Amino acid sequence: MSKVRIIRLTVLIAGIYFVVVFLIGGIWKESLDEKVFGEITPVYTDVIRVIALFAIGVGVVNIFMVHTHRIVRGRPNWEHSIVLLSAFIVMFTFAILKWTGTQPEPGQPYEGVAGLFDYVVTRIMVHMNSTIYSFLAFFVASAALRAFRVRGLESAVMMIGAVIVLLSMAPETAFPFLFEVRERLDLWLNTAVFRALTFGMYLGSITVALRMWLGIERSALFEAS
Amino acid sequence: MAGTMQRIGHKVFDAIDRVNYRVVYIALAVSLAAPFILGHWEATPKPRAITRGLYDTIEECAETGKPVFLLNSWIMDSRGENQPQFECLVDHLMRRRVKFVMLSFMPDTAIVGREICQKTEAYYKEHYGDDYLQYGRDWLMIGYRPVYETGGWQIWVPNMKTKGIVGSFSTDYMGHELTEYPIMQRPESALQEEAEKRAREGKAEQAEGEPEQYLQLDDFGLIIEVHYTAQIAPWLTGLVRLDKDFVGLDGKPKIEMASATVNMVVNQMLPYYDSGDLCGILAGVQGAVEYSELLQDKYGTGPSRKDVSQRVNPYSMGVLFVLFVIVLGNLSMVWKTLHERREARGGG
Repeated sequence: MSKVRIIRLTVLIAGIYFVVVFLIGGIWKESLDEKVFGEITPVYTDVIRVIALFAIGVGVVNIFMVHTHRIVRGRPNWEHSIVLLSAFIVMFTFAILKWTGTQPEPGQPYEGVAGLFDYVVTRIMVHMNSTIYSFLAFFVASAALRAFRVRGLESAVMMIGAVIVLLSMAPETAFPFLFEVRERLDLWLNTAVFRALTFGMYLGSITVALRMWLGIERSALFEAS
Repeated sequence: MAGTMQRIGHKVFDAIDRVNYRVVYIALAVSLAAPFILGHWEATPKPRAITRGLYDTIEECAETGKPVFLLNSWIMDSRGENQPQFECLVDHLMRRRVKFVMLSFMPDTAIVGREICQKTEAYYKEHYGDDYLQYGRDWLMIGYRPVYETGGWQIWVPNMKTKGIVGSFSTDYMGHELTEYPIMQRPESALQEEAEKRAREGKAEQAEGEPEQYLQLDDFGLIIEVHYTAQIAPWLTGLVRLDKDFVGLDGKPKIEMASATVNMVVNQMLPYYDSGDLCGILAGVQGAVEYSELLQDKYGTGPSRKDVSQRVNPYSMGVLFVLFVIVLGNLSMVWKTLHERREARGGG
């Protein structure tokens, strides 16, 4: 059997399982739930765990191979690779120390060498992550000046809505009535529109899922190279 | 005079149109930093119904003694909005001594969330004595669990529903057995309720057996998800499909569910609130401020108050700045259009 057929067959069988669980599971609930969630799902969960762990393992090996090669051969930006591998090794060591170090009383923070991992996460990583995401605000501000222009009736309606929502998002603004207006917009207009969007979105998802399940989706996964 | 004004206007709007993006960035940075330099100011918004819904449900849990399941799965990228929400919620739960179990699908949030809980606990212990709150009795952290460990988004809720908390996650964040903690014991009322239900359904052999001893998903009075996306949908689909008794005669879920999420995705959650699937939503940092206001009104200042009110100022400044540049950009466009028309008519 060719590789493509094996993939198609696996997808088909896995798809049947989910159809049984999520669509007709409710009808024969009493008998099915114990079987599905008591016996089959734990096996499925274990398979997912094994695959995920393999993926992580492959990822780690790949990172080491790629970046070691880069450093050894002195390719462009090899300095970045040193930082990446050093950070990886340091965090891995701290995690081991946390595991093997003195464990605190339940509910108490880790201290000493065992607390190094938490220290790096809360004092360095957290702030770096927040900083990177906060850059978005600058792009939004720049785009707001150049792109958010009222060029017609539709964009005017959108702009009025945006202004109301933006003003009501700053609790310090001196327009308390805007909060009421926004609440109405949210619960009346937005809810209706979003429901319609969600229906459309899920119909699209079902179509794609069906195509993949039945193996008629033309993608790299289902075609022989 | 009109000619001079026109020339000045033209120069100003032309400059705005061609302004270097670095200038915009610096102006925004100054706006965001202003509250830190000039000092913070209190924001006192009127709490919306979506915020009050969550607040009231926690109050109800305090009255009935039902525990709360807190899914703490935001990321550091959304810290500006999710952290104040999380702080308010933990403050309220600990202040009212509502038992809660916390789980995180994000490694860094698990640690930050734990620190916040420990700080809040220390605050209340200092004020009301050491016995006021206790880890394992009043709150518990399952800690970080990768989603794949639980079988993925669609599976882990039904899994937990079938296997219970102890069956799904055997240890807490330190690796101690969950069964060691008193919070994991089912309340007497839940045991009684299950025994009655079994007897009512006529399952003789099950009615004779012992009801599950440890906490089940059904025993929770409220499930709160603090998240950076609209992830509550898997909860709903998983729970509603799994348990025919889950939805009451009024069509609403028997276990209340609430979401605390960033402002950007609140729109996706509102249909669930409208249909009664969610009892409340904390919408961004604004929701946190409203929640903090409710806490302040009833119980006075708590440990979360200062941080929440400080975080909202830069956020508001950012929002107002964006609004300001939108208006500026549009004024510039309108001016230019009028100018071009005037020139076309030969009015120079």
